[in-house]
Amino acid sequence: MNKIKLNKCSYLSLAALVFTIASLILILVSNGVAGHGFAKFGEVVALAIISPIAVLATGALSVKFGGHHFATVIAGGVAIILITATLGSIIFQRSAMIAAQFTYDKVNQIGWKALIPSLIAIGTSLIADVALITGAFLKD
Amino acid sequence: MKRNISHGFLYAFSALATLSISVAVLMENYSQTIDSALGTHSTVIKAESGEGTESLYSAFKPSEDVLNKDGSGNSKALIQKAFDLDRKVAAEGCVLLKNENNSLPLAAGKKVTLFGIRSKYPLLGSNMGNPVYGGMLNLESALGTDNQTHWEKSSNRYSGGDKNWTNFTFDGGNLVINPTMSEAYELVKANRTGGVTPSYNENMSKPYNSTEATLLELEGAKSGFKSSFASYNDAAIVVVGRPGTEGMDYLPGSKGCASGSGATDPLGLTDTERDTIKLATDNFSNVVVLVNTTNQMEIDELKNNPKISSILYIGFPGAYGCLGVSDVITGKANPSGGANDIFVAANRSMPAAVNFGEYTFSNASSIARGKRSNHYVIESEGIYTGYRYYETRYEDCVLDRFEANSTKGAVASSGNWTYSQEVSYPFGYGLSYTTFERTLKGEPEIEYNVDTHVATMEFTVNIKNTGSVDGKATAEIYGQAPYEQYGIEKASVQLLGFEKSDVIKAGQEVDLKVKVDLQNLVSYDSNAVNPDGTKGTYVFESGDYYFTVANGSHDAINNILAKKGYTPALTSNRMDAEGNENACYKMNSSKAEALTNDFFSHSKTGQRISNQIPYADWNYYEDNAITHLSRSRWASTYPVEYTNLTAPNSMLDDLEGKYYTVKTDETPETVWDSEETNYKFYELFGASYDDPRLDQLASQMSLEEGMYFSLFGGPVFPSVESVGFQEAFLLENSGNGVVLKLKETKDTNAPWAIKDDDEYSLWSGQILPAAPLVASTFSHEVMEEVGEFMGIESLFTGISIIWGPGLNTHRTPYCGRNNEYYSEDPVLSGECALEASYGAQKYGCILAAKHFAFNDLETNRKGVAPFMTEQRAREIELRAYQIAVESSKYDKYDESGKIVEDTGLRGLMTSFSKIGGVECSCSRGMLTDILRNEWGFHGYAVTDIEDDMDLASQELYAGITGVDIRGAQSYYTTTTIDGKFANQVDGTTMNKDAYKGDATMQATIRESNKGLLWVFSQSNLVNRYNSTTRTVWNFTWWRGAYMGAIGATAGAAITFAVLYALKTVGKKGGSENE
Repeated sequence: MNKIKLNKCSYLSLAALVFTIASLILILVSNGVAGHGFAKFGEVVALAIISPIAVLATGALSVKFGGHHFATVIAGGVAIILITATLGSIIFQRSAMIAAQFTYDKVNQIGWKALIPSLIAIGTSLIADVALITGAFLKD
Repeated sequence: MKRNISHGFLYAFSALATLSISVAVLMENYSQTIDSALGTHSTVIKAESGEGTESLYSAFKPSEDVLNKDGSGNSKALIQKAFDLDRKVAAEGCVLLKNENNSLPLAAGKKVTLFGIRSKYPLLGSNMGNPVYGGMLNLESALGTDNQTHWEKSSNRYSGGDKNWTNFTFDGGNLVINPTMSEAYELVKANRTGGVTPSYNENMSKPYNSTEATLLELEGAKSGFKSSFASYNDAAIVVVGRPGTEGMDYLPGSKGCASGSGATDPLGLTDTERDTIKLATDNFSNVVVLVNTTNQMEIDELKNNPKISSILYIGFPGAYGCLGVSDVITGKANPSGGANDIFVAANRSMPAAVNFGEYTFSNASSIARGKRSNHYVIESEGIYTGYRYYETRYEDCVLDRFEANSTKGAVASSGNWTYSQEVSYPFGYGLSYTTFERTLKGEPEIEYNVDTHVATMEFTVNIKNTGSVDGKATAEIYGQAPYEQYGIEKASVQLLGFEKSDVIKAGQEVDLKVKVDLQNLVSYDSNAVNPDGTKGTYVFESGDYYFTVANGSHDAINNILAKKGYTPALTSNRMDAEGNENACYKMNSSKAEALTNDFFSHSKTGQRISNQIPYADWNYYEDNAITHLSRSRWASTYPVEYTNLTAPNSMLDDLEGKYYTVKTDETPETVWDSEETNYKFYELFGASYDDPRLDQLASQMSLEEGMYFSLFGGPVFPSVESVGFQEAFLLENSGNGVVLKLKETKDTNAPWAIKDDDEYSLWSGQILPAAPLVASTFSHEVMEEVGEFMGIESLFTGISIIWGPGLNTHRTPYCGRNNEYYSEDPVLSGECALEASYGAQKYGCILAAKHFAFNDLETNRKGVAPFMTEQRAREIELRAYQIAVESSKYDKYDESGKIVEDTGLRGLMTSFSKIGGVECSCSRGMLTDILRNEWGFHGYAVTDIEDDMDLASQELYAGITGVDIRGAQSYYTTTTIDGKFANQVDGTTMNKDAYKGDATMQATIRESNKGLLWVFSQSNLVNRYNSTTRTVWNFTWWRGAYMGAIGATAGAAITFAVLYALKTVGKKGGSENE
C-alpha cells in the first residue's frame, strides 16, 4: 500500500480543516441559544459547511499535485474566500443582534452565551485563513 | 518573485479583499448608524429657499433662548436650559417622606459627611433603556462649594462630558463635604474587581445584591476614616438606591436576593446597606437618607428608625438633577412632590407579586411559534394594584367587612392585615418644610355634554399655608364610586385630577381650580349587555359619590370615611386617623340628572363601547379557570400563584398568530395611483385630520408605496415619490431626551444645526430625569416643559418622532423598566404624557408613547402573555393612554364648535408582549377598535424593534403603521418587503403584490398611510420641504475608505495571481525545454 506523503501545505490544510470544522460547530452552538439565533442561519451555515469541503479539497490536491500546483492554488483560493465569507457573515449577523438590543454587562448571560461562540468562530475562521496563507508561503 | 511568495500573497490579498467586501456590505447596511457615530451624512435632504421658492424652516423653530441673534444654534444655552430644567424637575419632584425636628433643610456652610457608594455615584439614569449621557453632575458636586462642573476630568464623553468642554458654573448647595469619605468611595470602586460596577447608569444583577461598600472595603481604602467624622458632623447624608434596566426584573422575595445579602426582598435593604446606615446613625445625630430609586424600595425600617431624621425620595435625577436635590436639601427649594407609587413595608405583600416572574406553558413544546408564545403571567389581582389595593382593603377593614380583616395577604402585619403595618407611605403623599390646610370651597361645577359623552367636575380647592416657610402645594382630587358587595369591582379611592399652586407665602392662602373628568371614575363592566347585543361597557352606577382633596391616597380615604361619619373611636381604632370632612364633597348620582347609567357607554367620538379584548382574560378560553381578586371576599379570592398552566386548545390558534388570513379573490375599492390631484404632503401643514385633501393625497400613492410606507416604521422611512416624501432618518429614542449628539443631527441644513467644530457638538441629549421623578412633581407645568425641551432637542437633531415617553403603569415595583414609566396610577401617568406630548408638539415633535400596552414585566417580554380582566386592562393600563390620546384640554375649535386642532397624543409604540393570547402588535381590538374608533387616535403606531415580523399581515390588519427595523434603508432596492418579511408564520413570503386581492387590507393600509401622512405633515419635518426638496446622496469618507480597501486588495490579489501564473508557466516552459 502506498504511503500518503503529506507536505507542508497539506499539514497546514489539515490544521485549517480542523479550525473550519470548529467554526461550524461554534456557529451551531451560537445559533442554539434561545432568542439569539442567526437571522439568516441558512446562509452562514451553508458557507460554514462548504468551507471545510474546500479546505479538504485543497489538502487532497496538495498531496496529489503539490502545494503550489495551480489546481491546489485555485482550490485554496476558493477555500480562503469561503472561510472569509463565513467570517464576514458571522460578523454581519451578530452585528444585527448587537444593533437591536444587547447589554455588555456580564449579567446579560444569555446574550453573551450567544455572542461568545460567535466571536470564537470568527477567531477560528481567521486562524484557518492564516494556516492556508502560511502554507502557501512555504516551499514544498 | 518566487512562486510560493506569489502564492502566499495571492491568498493573503484574496482574504483581505473578501473581508473588505464583507465590511463594505456591513457598513452600507448600517450606514445611518455609522453616520451617527462618525458624524457623516450619507444622505441629506436638500432644498433651496429664496426668491421664487417657498420658505424653509418657518413652521417650527427652537425657542429664542437657545438661539443666537442670527438664528444659529447656541449649544451652550441649550445645555444651560437642560441644567435649569433638570434642576426644576428634581426640585419639584423630590418627595420629603420624613422630616423629624426640621432636620432638613441644611443651611449653607454646614459640614456634612456623605455615606453610601451612591453618594459618590448616584443613579442618574437606567442602564439600558434610558441611560443619561451628555456630561453628568453628581450629588457631591451639586451639594458642595466648588459650584462648577469638572468635565476636564472626563475619561469618557458618554459618562462625564468631554475634557475639551468649558465647564459650567452654578449656585450649588455650598455645604462643606467630608473629603475623606469621598476619596474612600472612589478608591473602593477603583479597587473592586468583578461584579456590577457602581456607576451613574448602573446595571442590575439578578439575583440582586447591592454594590454598596462594605465597612471592610472602606477601611481598606481609607484606614481610620471614622476620625474624619468629627470635623464634618453637622449631618450625615446616606444614599441608598436600586438601579433599573431594560430586559430584566427584580424577582419578589428571597428568590430575588443574592445569597448572603441579608435582604428578604431585592428592593429591601441589604446587610451592607444597613451597616452603612448604622455607621451614620452611630456617629451622627442628624441623619438624612436619600432614596435614589425608581423601583419603590422597602423603607419601613428607615421610617421607624428614630435615629433617622429625614427621608427624601430623589428618583433618578438625570444628568444635572442633583442640583435640584441639593436645592431641596439646602432649602433653596421647598419640597413639593408627592409619591408616584405607594411605598409598602414588604413589596411581596402586593397581590400582584403573587404572580410575577417566569411562567411557562406546560405544553410549550407543542406550540409551533416556539419561544415567542411559551410564557404567560396571570394578573389575577384585577384592579387592585398599588394603592388601589391597600386603600380599598383598608376601608373594608375599617368597616369590618368582606373578609378584609384576615391574615390572608398580610406580610408585615403581626396578625390580621393592618394598613399601618403594611404601608410605609401612601401614593401621592409628600411633606413640605411648611404645612398646608386643604379644603374644598363651595360646590363643584358640573358640566356635561350628552353629545360627546363628556362630564367634568371643577373643584375649588382652598390651600392655606399654615407654616412659616413659603412653598408650593399640590391639590390632588380623589374620588369614590358607590360599591355593593358582589357588584362591579371598585377601588375605594382613585386619583381623578390634580393641580399645583405657585409659591404660597407663609400665612397666605390661594384658591386652585381642579377640573376632573368623570370618565376616570366610572367602572367597566365586562358583563353589561348593550342594546345592540354586544357586551361590556362603562357604567355610571347610582348611589353616593365622594370627592376629596388630600395629601395622598390615605388622607383621601380617611376624609371620605370622615364624611361618612366614621372616626377612629367609632371603629375601635381600625380607622388610623381622623379624616377631614371639610375636604370632602358628597354627591348623590341623582343630583347629576344627565349622568345616566349609560352616559359613558359611548366614547367621546360617539363610538359605542363594548368588549374589544375579551381574550385578555384566561377565563375567555377556559371558563372559571382563574379566580380574580374580588373586594367582595378578600381572603377567599386572594390570588394564588398559577404555575405550569396548560394552554387550552381554544387558545392555541391565538398563540400561533392565526389572527387574519389574507384574501386573494376580492375586488378592492381603495383607489391608488390617482392623478386627480398632485398634492405634496407638506402642503397639508396645519390641516385637520378631516381635511378632504388628506384622502386625495393618500390616493395619489401606489399600492406598493402604501405597503412600504405602512410596513417600514423607522428609524429610516421609505420615500413616497407620489406625495413628495423623501427617504430619511426621522426617529430616535427615547423618553429622557433624544439619543443623538448635537453634531449627529439628521438635519444639517437647519439654521440652528450645531456644527462639528462647535465646542459642545458632542453633547448628547439624553439628560432628563427619569419618568417617576417627573410624575412625582404633580405639576402640569413641569410635565409640559419636559415635553417642550424634547421638542427643542428634536429640532436640533433633525428628529421628527421620538419613541417615548414610557406610559405603561407600574403593576409592581419589580419591573426593571419602571424607571421609564411614570407611576402606578393611570391618571397621573396619562396627564404626564399628555403634557409632554403637547409641549413637544409646539416644536413639531411627535412623541410616540410606549409600550402599548401591558409591558408589566421584562421577563420574557418578547411574547409573554399577561392575562387580566378587561376591566383591569381598561381602568388601569389603557386609561393612561386614553387620557393622553383623548384629552381635549388643548384642542382648538372653530366658531361652530368643530375641532380644528386635535392635540392629543399622535404616536405610540406597541409592546413586545401579548394581551392575553394575542400579540399586542396584532390586536385589532386594541389598535383599531379602542385606540382609533373609541379614542379617535390618528397617527403613528409602530411596533417595538423587529417585533412579530412573521405576522406582518396580522400587524397591518390590527392597525400598525410600521415595524421598527433598525438599519433598514435604501428601500425598494437594498431593503425590500420580501427581503425583510420573508418568513411569515403561515409559510408565505410577503411581497408587494400580497394584497392585490384583499379589500380589507388595502383599506387598512390606506388608513395607516393617512395617519402617517397627517402626522408628518404636522411635524417639524415640514421645515425642510418645499418644491425643491430632494434627497442627495453623499460620498462619505468611509465609503472611500472601503472602496479603496477593496480596490487595493483585489488589485493586489490579481497582481499576485498573474505573477504566480507567469512563474508557473515559466517553470513549465523551462522543464519542457530541458
